Amino acid sequence: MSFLDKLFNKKNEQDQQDKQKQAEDTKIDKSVDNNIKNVKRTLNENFDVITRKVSLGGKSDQFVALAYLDGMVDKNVLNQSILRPIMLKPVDDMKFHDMGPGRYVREFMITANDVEEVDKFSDCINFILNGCTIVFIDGCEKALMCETRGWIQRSIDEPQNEAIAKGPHSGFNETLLTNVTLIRRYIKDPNLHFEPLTVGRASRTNVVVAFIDGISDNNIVEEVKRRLKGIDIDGVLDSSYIAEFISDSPLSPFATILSTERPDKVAANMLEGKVAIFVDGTPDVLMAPFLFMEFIQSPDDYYEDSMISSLVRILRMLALFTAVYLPGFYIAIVTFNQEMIPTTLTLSLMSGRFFVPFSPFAEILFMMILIEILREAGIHFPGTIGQTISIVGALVVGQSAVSAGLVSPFVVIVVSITTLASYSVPSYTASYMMRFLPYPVLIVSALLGIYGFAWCLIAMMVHLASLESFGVPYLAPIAPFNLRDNQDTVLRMPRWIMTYRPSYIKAENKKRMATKKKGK
Amino acid sequence: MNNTNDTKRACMDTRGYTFLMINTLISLPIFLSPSPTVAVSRQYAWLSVLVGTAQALMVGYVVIKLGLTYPDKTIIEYSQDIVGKFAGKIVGLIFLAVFLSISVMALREFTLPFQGFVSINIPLPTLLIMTMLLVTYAVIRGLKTISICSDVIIQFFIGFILILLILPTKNLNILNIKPIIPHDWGRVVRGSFDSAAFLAEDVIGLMLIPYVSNKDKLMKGNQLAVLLSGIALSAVTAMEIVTMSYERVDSTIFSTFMLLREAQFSSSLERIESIAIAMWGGLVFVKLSVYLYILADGLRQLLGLKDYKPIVYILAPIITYLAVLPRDISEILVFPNKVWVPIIYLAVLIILPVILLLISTIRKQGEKK
Amino acid sequence: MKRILVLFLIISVLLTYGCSMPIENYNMVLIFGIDKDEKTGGYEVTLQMPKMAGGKEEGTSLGNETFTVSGVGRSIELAVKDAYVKSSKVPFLGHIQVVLIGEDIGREGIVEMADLFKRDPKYTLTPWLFTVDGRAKDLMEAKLEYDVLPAFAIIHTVRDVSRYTIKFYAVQFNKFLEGIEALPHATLMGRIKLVEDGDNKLLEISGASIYKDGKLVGMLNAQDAAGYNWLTGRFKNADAAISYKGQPMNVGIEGGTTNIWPIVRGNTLVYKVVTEATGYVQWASSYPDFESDPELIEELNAATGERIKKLISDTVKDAQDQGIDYLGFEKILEHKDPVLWEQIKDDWDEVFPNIELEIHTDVTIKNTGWILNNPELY
Repeated sequence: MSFLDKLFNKKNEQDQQDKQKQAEDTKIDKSVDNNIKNVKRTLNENFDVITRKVSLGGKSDQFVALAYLDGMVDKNVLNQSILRPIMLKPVDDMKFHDMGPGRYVREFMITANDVEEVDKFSDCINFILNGCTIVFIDGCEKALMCETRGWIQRSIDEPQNEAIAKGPHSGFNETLLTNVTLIRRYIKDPNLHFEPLTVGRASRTNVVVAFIDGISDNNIVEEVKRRLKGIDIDGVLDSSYIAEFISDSPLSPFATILSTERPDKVAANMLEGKVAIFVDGTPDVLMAPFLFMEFIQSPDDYYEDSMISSLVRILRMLALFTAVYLPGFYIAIVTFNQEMIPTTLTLSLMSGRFFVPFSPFAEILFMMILIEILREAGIHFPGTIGQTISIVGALVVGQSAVSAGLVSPFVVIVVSITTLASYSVPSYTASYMMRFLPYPVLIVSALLGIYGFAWCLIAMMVHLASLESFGVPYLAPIAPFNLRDNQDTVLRMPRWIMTYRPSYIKAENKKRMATKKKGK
Repeated sequence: MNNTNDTKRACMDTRGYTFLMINTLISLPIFLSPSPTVAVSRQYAWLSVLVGTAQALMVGYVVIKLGLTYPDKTIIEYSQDIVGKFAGKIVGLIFLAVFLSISVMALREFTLPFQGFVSINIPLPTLLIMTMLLVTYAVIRGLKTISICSDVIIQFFIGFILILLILPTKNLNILNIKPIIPHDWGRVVRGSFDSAAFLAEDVIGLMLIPYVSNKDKLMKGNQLAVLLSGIALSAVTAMEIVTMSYERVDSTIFSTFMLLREAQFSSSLERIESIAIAMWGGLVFVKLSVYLYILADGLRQLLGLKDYKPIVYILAPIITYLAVLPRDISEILVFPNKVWVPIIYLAVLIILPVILLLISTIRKQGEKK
Repeated sequence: MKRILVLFLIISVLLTYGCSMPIENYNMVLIFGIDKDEKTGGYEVTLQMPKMAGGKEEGTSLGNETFTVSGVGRSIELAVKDAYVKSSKVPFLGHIQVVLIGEDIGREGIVEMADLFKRDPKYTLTPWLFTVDGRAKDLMEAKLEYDVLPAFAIIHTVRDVSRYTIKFYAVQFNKFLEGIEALPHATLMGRIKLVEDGDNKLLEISGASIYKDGKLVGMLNAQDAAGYNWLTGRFKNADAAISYKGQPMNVGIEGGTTNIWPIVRGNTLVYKVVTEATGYVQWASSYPDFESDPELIEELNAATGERIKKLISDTVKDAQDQGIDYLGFEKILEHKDPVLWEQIKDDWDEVFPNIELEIHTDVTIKNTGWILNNPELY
């Protein structure tokens, strides 16, 4: 069996390699029939590959063939602007012979908006797969590509995970062009560059790298492009595939690349000099570089009053810290160092734990796992019942657990505060990561007491200090400390104070606005 | 992105260097040194600390002047240029031995609160191994990571100092620190050597100067670091004398922990020594990381190797083993009292850099002619 | 490979964890009492712990039920361990609120106890100290009719009631140690006794107890303790009873400061005491007419000043007669005139009884309450 299999497998591979080579070597034939045959062969005669041979301007000896993918083209444009003029418009013979068929058809006949000449056959296939229409002309070695993309796309809705109260409510959708246009609407600077790439062997996903020339750091842009070109994968279904490949430390629980669905967030970041990566087929846009302090920043900080936003950010920092460290601190105090908390608190803890049959570590672990189960149930349960179940479940289960004497009321409070605090952080990636972080802290604190707790604090700090995002230290601008950059990390200074862009993006154009002279 | 080759060494700016120095200089003394200083100078201990700061400032001046004559090399490298190959290697070895002893002592003293003060006994090897693991991880990631850690910890430290100076004010008794002008300056000066010896660890600047990117304001940054450390130390000592009288500060080993344990700002905000323990952990961690880094780097330069990472992997277990050796607290305290202050401070930290500076100045002048 | 090794190292190290004692194995000791054991001549230690009433229903109500455990031993630590083996859970000594010292053991000396509390990390230096008139064990075992735990009742008296009266002196262990360790090793401590009021048993905190060189050498009653508080500047919300036109009157004192300076005049050491206080009229039974007589307040100021002088000088004379400097005069000399102090510190026991006192008072009565004057109705 193996020998024959090998024979057959090799043949399959050989077939595929031959096919690829053929596809690349194929030239655009002068005869329309051959072109159509080639197209059908390359695209494997799928049912949605439509080829149509029509006459050119009513002439009986000149033919033109169209090839497109049904479902990806806008039939209106196809019919009205391409087929109709080609078939019905009379051909001016003199000009036709002067300029050549390709140029004549392109400039005089097709009334579609974007028409280009294509030299290579493989490019024709690419264009067809992207939703354009290819026009083959008899006697011409070049084909014409007409922009007829028009598939059904999702409407522009506010993203659910990043909803805010005040501000723009638009969000990206799965079409690359729509997303790029949304950014264009915010930034009308001529220096806004979009550089396209293709990633993925089978999916050939269109990826666009966007930046504002002069504001962003050229080194970072080059680095992003270099890493994107180095990706070798069969298909890219979501930007997170790309994020895993180009991220500096993909194994760290802290993301070094932001992924967002909000165009105002992308535009604001690009105005600070960051680079955006749009991926066709997903509304998540990646931004590089991404720093730790942005976990606590949300777009509505910039649309609301600056004082209150600063206080809210401080609250988020507190929530971030609590969500990771509170269970560990609780267990360190209760198990080892009971003299480190005020006396009345210790008395309450003691009397609360009186009838509980578990050890403190088992109790809090049990409670945390219970809350995780409730959380998963809330997410995956269909419809709106999911939300109700998780809230009701948490309350009821917590209360009954206390009444049954399984856990002490303190632990219920500690765990609920931890869970709620992990949701207060505006970034969804961060809250996902924070579900897992309290556990190591809990275990180390349960084993080594307050020393273990201090160890976890420092270990986390060292890990964050060692991360970098495309050359920028992850903890900038807290460390290395830069006073001017800190106007927008924890505190959100009023807008007239933020005259300079962050200095960790090394570019020429640093000023956001004209600085006021003293005395005004 | 963290290179260990010598080509591009700069990984922190002057401000990062200042923060790193403050961190290293102040980590142990702020918890440990009020007690021995008060034992000698009683209620004038805060003045003793200031006198010690003045001495350390002079050391710092010599250090930076010497370091800037060879801005891209560490002392291990250019000591051979100054006094010749053999003597230069001896000088390098002396410095490395000093750094080794400081780091072993710091590691052992780090575990002291967790053994006796906090009422739980974690076995000593566990503490040492866990701490060294963390320190090794930070050192492997490079000096840039260490300086970022020290930036973060300094920002917390500023809050900590404010807490130390504000919270215990309910127990103030100004009488404890009077008279402000001492009647016996001899006491003041005799007590200053302890804090001067701690603050004169400024000599590690000799190993760190090549890693600073912007060397113009380096003298100012270094002196500022020493000065700020000294002032903070003096303020904390004064606060301790004022709230607990000097007799109690004298008898308590970790007087800063005791300060926070007794600070009762309100009936619910009491016993906040867990903040002090977290701060202790952070500060000594940075100090240990810096020392391990300069040890590994110095050894690398002495032996002429390319990469310092294998040296780190060998050094970490050695230091851990050496830290287990002192059996009890009197053996630990022998080192600072009998060895560090009289011998090492005088000989290595003061005399050696001065000699090197003189020789290099003479040589440069000879070359000019 | 490297990561696996590191992980293995961490886990194996973590598993050698030290002894842990989770919180439910403890019962918190709130009052620590120490007596002399009649039979063996050693120590008898009594620990008072709350009865945990809490549990399943309404969470964590403590009530005010307590129970006590006693142990005997040759040293305090042995006595404490003896009490350990008699108790249901491990007593936790890190949150002791009050330490009661029996009179008998106080007279013998509490140096060992002070050293134990300072050194051993199990103990804490924040409890309030009291000397008991009698045995500490009797006081702790009495059934008291408070609505809170007795330890918290004592704490509340010391913290809150001290804002209304200065008839007692209370100190925490760390401040007491400061006093004992500073020369001349004499200072005051609180004083507590059990009183019976009909069927009720209550704790009364009044006066102070004198310790020199770690031994109890005497007691102060409420009046003397008030004088001491005046001397040391702790007279917020005190009272001064004066008489005006032969009738008693009470002046309430809001607060103020006392400054003490040592001055040398010729061969004698003089301590100048300057007290400044502000006050208000609390009640008067002699119909003073403040409205028409502006000099009246000056007279009352002077009278109050006289009263304060008497209180302070009585207290100082009392201390001088006993020859014990628990007023902190030597410490004041040490810190305000160290050169002189170095000379005479060895002879302090002779110098102290001969110190002259010069007291100046400056009382300002700021207002007279709600009413200005009372019509002579009654």
